[in-house]
Amino acid sequence: MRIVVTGLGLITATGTNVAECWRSLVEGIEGVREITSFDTSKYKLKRACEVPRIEKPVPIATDPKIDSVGKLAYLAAQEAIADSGIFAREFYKPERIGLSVGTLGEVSLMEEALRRTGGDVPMAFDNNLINAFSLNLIIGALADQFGTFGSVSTHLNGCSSGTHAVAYGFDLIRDDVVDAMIIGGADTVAQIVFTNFHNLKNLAPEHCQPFDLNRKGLMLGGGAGFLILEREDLARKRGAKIYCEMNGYGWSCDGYHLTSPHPDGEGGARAMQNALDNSKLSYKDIDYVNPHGTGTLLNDSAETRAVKTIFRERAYDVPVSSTKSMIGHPMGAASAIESVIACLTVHHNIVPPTINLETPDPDCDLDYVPNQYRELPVRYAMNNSFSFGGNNVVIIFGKF
Amino acid sequence: MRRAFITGVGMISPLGEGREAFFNNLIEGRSAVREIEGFDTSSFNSHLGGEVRGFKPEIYMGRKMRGLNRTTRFLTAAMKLAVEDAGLSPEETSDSGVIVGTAFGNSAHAITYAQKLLKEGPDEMFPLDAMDMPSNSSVNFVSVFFAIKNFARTISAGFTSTHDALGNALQLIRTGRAKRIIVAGMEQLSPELFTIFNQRGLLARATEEAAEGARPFNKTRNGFVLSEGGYALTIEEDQLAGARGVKPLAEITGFANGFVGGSKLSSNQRLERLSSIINASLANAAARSSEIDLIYTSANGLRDPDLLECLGLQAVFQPEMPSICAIKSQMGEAYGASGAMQASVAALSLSIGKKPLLNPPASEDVDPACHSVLKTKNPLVESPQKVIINGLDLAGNFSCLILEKYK
Repeated sequence: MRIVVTGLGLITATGTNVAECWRSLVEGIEGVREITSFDTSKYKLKRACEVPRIEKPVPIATDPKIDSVGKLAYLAAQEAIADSGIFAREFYKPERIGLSVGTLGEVSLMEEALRRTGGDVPMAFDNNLINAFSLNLIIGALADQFGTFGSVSTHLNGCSSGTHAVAYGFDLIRDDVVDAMIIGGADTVAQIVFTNFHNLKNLAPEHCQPFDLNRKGLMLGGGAGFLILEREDLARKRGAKIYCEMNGYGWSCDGYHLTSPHPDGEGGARAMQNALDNSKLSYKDIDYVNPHGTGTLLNDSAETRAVKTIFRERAYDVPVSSTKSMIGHPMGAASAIESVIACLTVHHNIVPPTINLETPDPDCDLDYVPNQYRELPVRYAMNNSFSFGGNNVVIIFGKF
Repeated sequence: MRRAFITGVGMISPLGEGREAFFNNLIEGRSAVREIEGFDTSSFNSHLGGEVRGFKPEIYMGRKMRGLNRTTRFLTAAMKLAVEDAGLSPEETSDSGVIVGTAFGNSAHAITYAQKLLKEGPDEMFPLDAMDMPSNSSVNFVSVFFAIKNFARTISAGFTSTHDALGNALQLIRTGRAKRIIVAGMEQLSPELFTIFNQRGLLARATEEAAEGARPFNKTRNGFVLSEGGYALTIEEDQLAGARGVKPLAEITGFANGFVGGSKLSSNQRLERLSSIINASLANAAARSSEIDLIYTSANGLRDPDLLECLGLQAVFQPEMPSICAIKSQMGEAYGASGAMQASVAALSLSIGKKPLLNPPASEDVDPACHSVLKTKNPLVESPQKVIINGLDLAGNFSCLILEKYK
């Protein structure tokens, strides 16, 4: 069974829909700005790729002061649904459409609720804290709003949450559990996450510089990315527009360290090879890699080694560009957003650049598409997500 | 199609640690539900919980678990017990996949971390405080502790989290995408969670009619009793288990799930959806409803969900209603871990050949609307062969697993 992508939805620091986000990515526009969703006066660093407030009401639990994860997820999913026309003419039975979402959870919503009580533990919490605490409520609200009755699940796997959600949905379709999936990831820039990376000295002060010799860390981001996956035969039958095909996925664990990747990128390389095997493709077929590319010292060098392991003599010829240089690292949403970007590279035959790449690092010597987008035929694009703890998922999208 | 066998179980539960203590206490009728000692409940109307007491994580992992929160400790210790029960070598364990199911995971830790941050400021926060705070940290810890090389994921689907994790494992093994998976679930009974469920009016409380308690299907039921713990099962492909020469505890033969909640469905539509999911799980297992000996219900003492499940079972199984087990009256509601808890009980019961207690309300106490379901004409056979495990979440997930005696 072949599985195709028929709808996309995107919200990042540089756009609130696919068209805006894609244009910004191609033009190399950076979304980093001063954080506004919480007070940064007591922090040395104050910047992130936050999504600017979206003044649009949504029919799910959120907070007047912040755009919650649920709100971003709803808006991006809604765009993908409208783009695909998946609900048109009631082609699919609601029980044959599933939902899966990757995220860290409603952390910002929880923080906002606690701010109202000065951080105390009251006997009765703010209602928003109740919504934030139940990790399952985001997906339940989406299923309720969209009227789907198929399998619903939330995936909590750090940076690879989104790709886990995509892989899970892909399996549900190919195993004939559902006909179509609404899949994505969403996250906001949460203060506790910012604090943790800040105090670990893992954040970039001004700009995110993946693969640059002077890279100083990651830049947190917010956003949401959603895809509609469908059985190819049914998508064609209903006359859907097809962006690309999802060919397969691969996964692995480093089983090595809680915060550091295996220095040789061994786990990442295994996930990439598993994805190629699962897709019945060779490394010679891949024309573009959207790497995890966080801008941290250890990730970028380990990932470079992993790419070299897999791509062998082609390692220096395959474009590898980190879009996190522009939109930051939206945590649990990152890999879903990058899946959408990988689909767009296949669809448009354009590869976005790695911006802020000024000084080459001898340990990172691949073609990172520095600072300027490139037009080239993209038959297959590979999307890497290598989470803390060595939790690796790789997805491959190809031309249909 | 490959078959998926349960080859080991491990648990840190309010009724004991490890399969023998847990299962013996369970079938002897001991209750996990007691007055909460871990935090002060005097200002609440509810005071009961299924607490794990006297847990010493160092017994299982030495000093490795210092600084970790209670959920990760439950998860790690339960996994260690399951791996030992299955007789897996370190290499075999490393080659396994891991699927963790949890409804709330480390949320209580995230709340206390955020409270400290908001009160004391970022300079007072130490990286170690956050080491086990993110929603994915528990699975990261176990994948490093057990040197997992295959894959590791966390699925959160409310009260059906581990039902869905087990269903996912079944599918991955059936299709040959994985050969051995450790499925585990864990939840923590925290004051934060207790406060939230209390605020939502979901906890059992004393009334003029009845004392506080876990009373599924009872006419006086008014909420559930929270429970905590960690439960893990090793699931292996038939050939792999055969090659190791182990005798499986049970086989997972069917699974189906879906969303039956939300504001758009009428009561009848929800019932129809729930029934169709039970039927889908039977079809997935190639089983007839008449073959089912026992149903481990999701019922926990909430008025509407218990009734919905009752009516759904009635629609599928009448007039040949199998025996109904309300295990949460004895164990409390282990929310995201409940599927793994129920599956552990079912696997042990199928393997040992001892039936669990059904825990039905006395006939005069049964909710009249549930009466037809509980009034089974066929008493539970001494050694059940084929069972169903239900999970129904407050947000609307419904999941249904089928386990069979190993043959």
